[in-house]
Amino acid sequence: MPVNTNRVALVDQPGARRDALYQALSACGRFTLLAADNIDALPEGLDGLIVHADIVPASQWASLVQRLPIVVISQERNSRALLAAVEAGVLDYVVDPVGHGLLLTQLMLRALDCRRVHASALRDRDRLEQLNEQLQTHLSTLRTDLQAGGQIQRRLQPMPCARLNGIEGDYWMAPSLYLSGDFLDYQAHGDRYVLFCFADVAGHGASSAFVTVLLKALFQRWLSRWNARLPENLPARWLARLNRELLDTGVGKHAAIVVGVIDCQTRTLHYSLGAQMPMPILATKGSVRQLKGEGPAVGLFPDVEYPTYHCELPEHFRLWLCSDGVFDCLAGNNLEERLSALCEHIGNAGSISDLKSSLALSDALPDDITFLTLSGFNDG
Amino acid sequence: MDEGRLQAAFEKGTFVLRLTGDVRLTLCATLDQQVEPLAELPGLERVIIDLRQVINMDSTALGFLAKIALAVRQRIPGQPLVAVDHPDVRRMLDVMGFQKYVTIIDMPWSEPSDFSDLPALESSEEELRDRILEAHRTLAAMSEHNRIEFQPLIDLLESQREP
Repeated sequence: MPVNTNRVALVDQPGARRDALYQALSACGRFTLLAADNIDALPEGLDGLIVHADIVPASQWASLVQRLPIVVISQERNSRALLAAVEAGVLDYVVDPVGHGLLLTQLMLRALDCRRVHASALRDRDRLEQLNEQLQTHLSTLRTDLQAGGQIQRRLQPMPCARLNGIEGDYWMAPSLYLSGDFLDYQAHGDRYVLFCFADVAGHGASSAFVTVLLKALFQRWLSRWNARLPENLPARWLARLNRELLDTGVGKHAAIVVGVIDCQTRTLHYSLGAQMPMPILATKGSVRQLKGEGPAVGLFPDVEYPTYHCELPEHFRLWLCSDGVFDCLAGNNLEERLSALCEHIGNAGSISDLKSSLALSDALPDDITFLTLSGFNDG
Repeated sequence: MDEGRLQAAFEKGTFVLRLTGDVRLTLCATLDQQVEPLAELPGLERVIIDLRQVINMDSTALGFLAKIALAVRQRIPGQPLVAVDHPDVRRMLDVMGFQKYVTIIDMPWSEPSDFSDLPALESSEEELRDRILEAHRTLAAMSEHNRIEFQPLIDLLESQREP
């Protein structure tokens, strides 16, 4: 037997009729029963009403229905007073209630339950609306932060179509979200060298974007400290330092990366790479080839030494670097087929915009996509 | 594209992690926290990572495997075994520099009933042969049960699947 915590008032004129019904309802024992003579003198803290139709003036039913769950009792089915109650929205009524104490109890309990469910639904709705509003606020804060982050990222990028010591650098970046995990930079050093860095930090979004900012800061610092000696050693040294830096920072992020130095005097490219895929692609007059090289990603394995690679640069060349997001836009059943498709696209492309057109990139990108080209010397 | 799946089991000192399909964990930020408890499993002797049914892995998933390999390096006698079948997956492991930290074995995908014969191997190391034979047995058993020790890890990883 559940605890009868509900307080229900039985409202009727005092007398034998009310007493008999009071007895019948008390025998059921499903709620705490109080007796009242009229609706103007109801006890405090009521949960429901069992009220005789004749007790309530027709004009007051509507406000009463709003206040409490009600079961109306009446001696006759066709009484005008009962009709007024039903018209005002009372759903439950019992005619000749004394003989139907159990039914009346069940109707009252059901009405109480409906009111409880309704109140709980209203509370839930209010809570949800409140949460939704908070969520929208957080979301717009987050969006503002991301947009600000995106602007900072763009400010850190080099000038597109820049000419540096006879080399032209150009690029295109398409983040799949507001922020990119891809990073690139190219800068001249003195009048002889052009240094470049191209990296794809694992994952995308804010955490990867923060690492790109770190990369920019390190690239800038190391470049300003470089004394222009032994350019052939620089890429491998930088990658080893970057690897240590990322591991020491403990951000748990790793990156695929290429660092290169173009010596414009000897017309040589010195480069080192970490897990770069696709490999750098060199397009010259009449040939397109992937440059060789290997090395693990930076930020994963401790104490890594990176090999250095060298490549003679002809009079006319364009060096292409693409982030692995490009694989999602290439036809082919496996990596080899996609790589040769990429080389074919690059062979037919005189610029990044040519490549973009031939790849037919859609608006919704599954991953960050970045292209970088460095071309020269074109002085012959 | 098959969406990625992960299964894990721990049996008689062998931890097996099996990845299947197109595994993209790009937005999984909490993977790193899963590595350490795995490395501290009492009685851990062998780690096998089964990539034979993987068709593609993103760099976050590859990084996760690398972190497992590093975390168990000081705790188990041999290197983790990584079983691959798809040449693209093999290439990705090579490009990422995994060779130094794990033993990569090319092992065609086959049904457990086909596990009775050990394939001829270039390696003359008896120990490696034994370990690979053991790996065959464990991987075969993987398809019959999936122990629940790693349910939280699996739930986490499974929740990262592309919708």
